[in-house]
Amino acid sequence: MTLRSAQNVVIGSGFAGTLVARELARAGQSVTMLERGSFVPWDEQVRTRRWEGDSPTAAHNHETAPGSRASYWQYVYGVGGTSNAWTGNTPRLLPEDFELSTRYGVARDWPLSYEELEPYYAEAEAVLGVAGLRNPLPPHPFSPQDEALAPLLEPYIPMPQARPTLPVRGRQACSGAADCMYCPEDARFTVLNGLLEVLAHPNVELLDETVAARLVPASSPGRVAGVECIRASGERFLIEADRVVVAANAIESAGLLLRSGIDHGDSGRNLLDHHFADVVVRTNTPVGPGRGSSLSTGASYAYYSGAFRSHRAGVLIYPRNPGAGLRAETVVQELIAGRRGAALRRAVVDDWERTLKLVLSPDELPDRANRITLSPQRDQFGLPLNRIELGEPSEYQQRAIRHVLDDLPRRLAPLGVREVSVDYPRGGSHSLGTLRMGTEADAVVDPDGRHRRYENLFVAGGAVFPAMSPSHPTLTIAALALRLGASLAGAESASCLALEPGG
Amino acid sequence: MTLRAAAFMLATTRLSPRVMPQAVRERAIRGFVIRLAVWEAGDYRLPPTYAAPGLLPS
Repeated sequence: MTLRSAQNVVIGSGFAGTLVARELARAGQSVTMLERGSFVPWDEQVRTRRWEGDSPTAAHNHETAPGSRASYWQYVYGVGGTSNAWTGNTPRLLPEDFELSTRYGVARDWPLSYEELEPYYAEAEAVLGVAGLRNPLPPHPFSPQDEALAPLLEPYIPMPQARPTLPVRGRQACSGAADCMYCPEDARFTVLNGLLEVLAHPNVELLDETVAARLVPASSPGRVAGVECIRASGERFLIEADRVVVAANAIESAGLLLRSGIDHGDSGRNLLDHHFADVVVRTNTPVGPGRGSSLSTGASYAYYSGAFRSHRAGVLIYPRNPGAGLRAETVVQELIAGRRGAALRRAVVDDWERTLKLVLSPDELPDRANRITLSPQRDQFGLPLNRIELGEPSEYQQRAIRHVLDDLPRRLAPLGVREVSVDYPRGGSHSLGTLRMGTEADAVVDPDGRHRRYENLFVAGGAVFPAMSPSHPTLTIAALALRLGASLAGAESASCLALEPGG
Repeated sequence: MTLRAAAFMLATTRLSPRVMPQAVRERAIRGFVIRLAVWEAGDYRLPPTYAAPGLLPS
């Protein structure tokens, strides 16, 4: 096996890995980044409708345990990671999300407060080019759906999002194409359009199409010596490192530690995910779907915050500006009624104009039974697959969704509610919590992201979340990565970027 | 699907309410439209596509 050496090895080139690397490189440290996937430029992603290349290293290496809830588990093996494939919603967590146990007697407190993370939130918003009320870029204006909902679902704010309202650092302003997963104008933030200078930095070496197979323990206890790697060709080599930062997604990061025999405490456990509910509300009043300057421009905290979180989940609600799909039954009824041509089209569109599409995003309680284990099945490199064990949503969460569905018609009564229907799309877009941070003995990393058994091993990314929130996690992942990066680089505190709109 | 499409075409002619039993007509319309409408719920681009002129019977 060939041997290389590095000062820092960062595993994963998504939000977390690239932001940690950014801080280290700026501080003059050298970084070797490992990325399983290939470099697939934005224009190729849009043309092929694929984020991932054909490298054998990019084959997803997880399976769902028998009897577990099936989810899509949307993560990307590619340079830039899952920043290539997200919708760009970037709300902060609320202060109470960090203190669920203290305030409400459920879940766990984070080992750090909102106030400690606040400067890093601000920096993350600057780096990602977030548009919102308190962000460097002005918020997107409310869409007609927001205007209809805002007075009925207060507090209601512009949805913070990494879809800019003004051109920023080479990215165009979002024009509301609503095709965010393959942004046709490269406006929504990705590592490739926002942090490419990190990957090209002279202190950074990027090894793509390279699998981090195992972490290798050092001869002295409490340290890792480096990372055993496999290239797409099958070549194996070892990188000796002073420090290793694991910054893959919560499934892969946990799998890497487990297959390295690093299974202290809650390693792999407490897998969390947002189990969204798609709600369609049919109203008598036209509510204007299909219009808006971006995919989602407003967010309601009406069911998010309060003492009720002791017995039911908080729920963030936001409309999808493109609206619901056309209702097939409406088409059927109008055809049966004998409508044709323009009259049919008018009737169907008229019904659609009276349709709200809402997303309900509830939080969930950590459960040790939801976890990543190692499968007896092996991938093409001989490594065990990551096996996902995830049960049904808890009663805590289901109670919250039932409450919102029961209460929405009352709140939305001024719109003349005709019908409320709900659908549960497969989850898997926000894997979190498998290597949780904490001060307890069974926490995997300490509040600074350092592994509790290995002094030179750190974890960044959603894996470290000790609890979840109704809010989307990406901004918090970015803020935590900046905090870890600043700590490793020796900085006292985050230094906020001045964000210059234009250009 | 070809048979369903043919039945749908017949069921949506101007004469069909007078010449087809109502239950058969409704079944022909529903059977075709519901299958046509199996769209991907997560694809936000579809509503305007389906609403576009020419994609609904005229």
